[in-house]
Amino acid sequence: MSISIKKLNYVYDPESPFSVAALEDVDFSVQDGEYVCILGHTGSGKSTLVQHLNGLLKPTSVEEMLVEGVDLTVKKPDMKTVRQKVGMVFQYPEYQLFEETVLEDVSFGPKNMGLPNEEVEKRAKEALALVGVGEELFSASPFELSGGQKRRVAIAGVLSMKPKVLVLDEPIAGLDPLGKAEILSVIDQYHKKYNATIIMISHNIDDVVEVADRIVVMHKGRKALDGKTEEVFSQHERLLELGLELPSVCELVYRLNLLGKNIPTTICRIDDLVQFVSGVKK
Amino acid sequence: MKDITLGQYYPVKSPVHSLDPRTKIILTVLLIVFVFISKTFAGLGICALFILLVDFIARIPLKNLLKSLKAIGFIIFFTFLLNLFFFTQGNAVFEYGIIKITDSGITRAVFMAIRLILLIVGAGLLTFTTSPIELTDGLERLFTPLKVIGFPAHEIAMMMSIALRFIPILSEETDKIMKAQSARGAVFDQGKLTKRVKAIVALLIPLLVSAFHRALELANAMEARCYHGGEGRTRLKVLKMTKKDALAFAIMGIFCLIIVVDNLILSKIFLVG
Repeated sequence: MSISIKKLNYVYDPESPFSVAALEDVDFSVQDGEYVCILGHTGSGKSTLVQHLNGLLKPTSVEEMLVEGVDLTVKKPDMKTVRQKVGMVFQYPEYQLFEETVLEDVSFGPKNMGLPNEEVEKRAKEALALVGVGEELFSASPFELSGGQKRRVAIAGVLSMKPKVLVLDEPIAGLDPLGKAEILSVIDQYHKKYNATIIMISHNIDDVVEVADRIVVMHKGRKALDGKTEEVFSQHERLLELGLELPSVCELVYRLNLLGKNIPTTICRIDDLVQFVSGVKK
Repeated sequence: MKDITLGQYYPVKSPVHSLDPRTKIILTVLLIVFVFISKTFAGLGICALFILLVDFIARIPLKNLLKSLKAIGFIIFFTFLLNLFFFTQGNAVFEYGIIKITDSGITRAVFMAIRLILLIVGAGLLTFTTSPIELTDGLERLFTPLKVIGFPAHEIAMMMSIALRFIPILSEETDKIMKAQSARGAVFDQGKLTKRVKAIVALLIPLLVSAFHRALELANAMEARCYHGGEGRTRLKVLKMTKKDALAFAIMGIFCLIIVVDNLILSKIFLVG
């Protein structure tokens, strides 16, 4: 078990006139090597939830919270370990770049872990290779890069710490289709190469449906749905009720079924639909 | 972080909140002046009562109001000590070496401390009941007459509102970058000095970069909407004085009168300092 959280509550600004309950009794468990996507509206508690995973936020109350073997419910949790095991890529991570060169910026994480210099450099180069940033850019200033390149360098800055769990908060927001595909492929490679657990928040539902093993839907600070990708996306009406958009394939199936066709609602990926319609297995 | 975001403004509906910001600014200045003018403990007592009364009408929990003292607690304490040790007139109550504490020294120290507390709390009433935007609006209108001598009232008010508007954005941004860098193992609150400085650099550079970025975007957005300064610019919310403001001025007048009378009569009996 990679992550196990029971009855997590979090209140922003308790005891002030602005206090808001951001999370209410959320249970959240993730197996090793799972690829989980979290969906939900702005303000549904997605980001608040993931920021608990490496101790950036402290729960207002919680019954159990184990992350990669670190107990986060104790008074002084082992932050150093948990920050190494759980890598966190924030929204628009390119805003965290600060060093003079790309290589130095990517080395920041492993350096903070206290690794020897050769190891730091090795890891930084590995991570940059993984995200597809060539050697010619190693000594460039991160501020000179293009938007997509900056994003990849920033992600490399987290991957260089070799986290067991990689948490990404809308990693493909604001990128062009090519940039999106590149980032998603980087995440997929990291997932497969290190059997890493991936937890991704995203609004790009058509991308989510293709990559995720499991979907968690947050709604008003509570967990509304949780299950295998096909299971969650087969509940068309429930998703629409929660104000979420259906993936294009599900939308098509949903509307055809409204017209009286009988297509299995578990079809949510384009390959499955092609196979169903053509009757040909790929 | 959230404390900075919202300043001190305490958003409830009350007669004090709904006063014209200009009224509140002028009355606060008057209150401060009269706290200074008061020469007796009785005068300060009246000031304190007046502040409590306004606070009660404004429906601000006293706890919140007193919290604003925390930040300057040290200054108050320091002033108290200075007055205690360096005011040497009067009868000595305690002497040790060069240290000499006199009875009028004690009285004066206590008096000064109370005066400072009242000043801060009194000024706090303004910021608790007036949102920063109203405050700049009020200041702009108050300074408008000074335009004839070339005082850039509109520009200063605009800069103030932009600065105020950016406080929550920058503090949110700081929070976000701090979190991002902590996730990469930066430690801001412990460890060796060199490491902490390094962590601060990792915070400040992205913050500066994004601040410049935002400034540029804002300038473009303002130009795109034909902003050209204060000349001929009308406002969405026109400030208007009402009967309530007149009433507030009247109450303040009575308060001032009481202080003056107190100074003239009582100060002859218990003169302090």
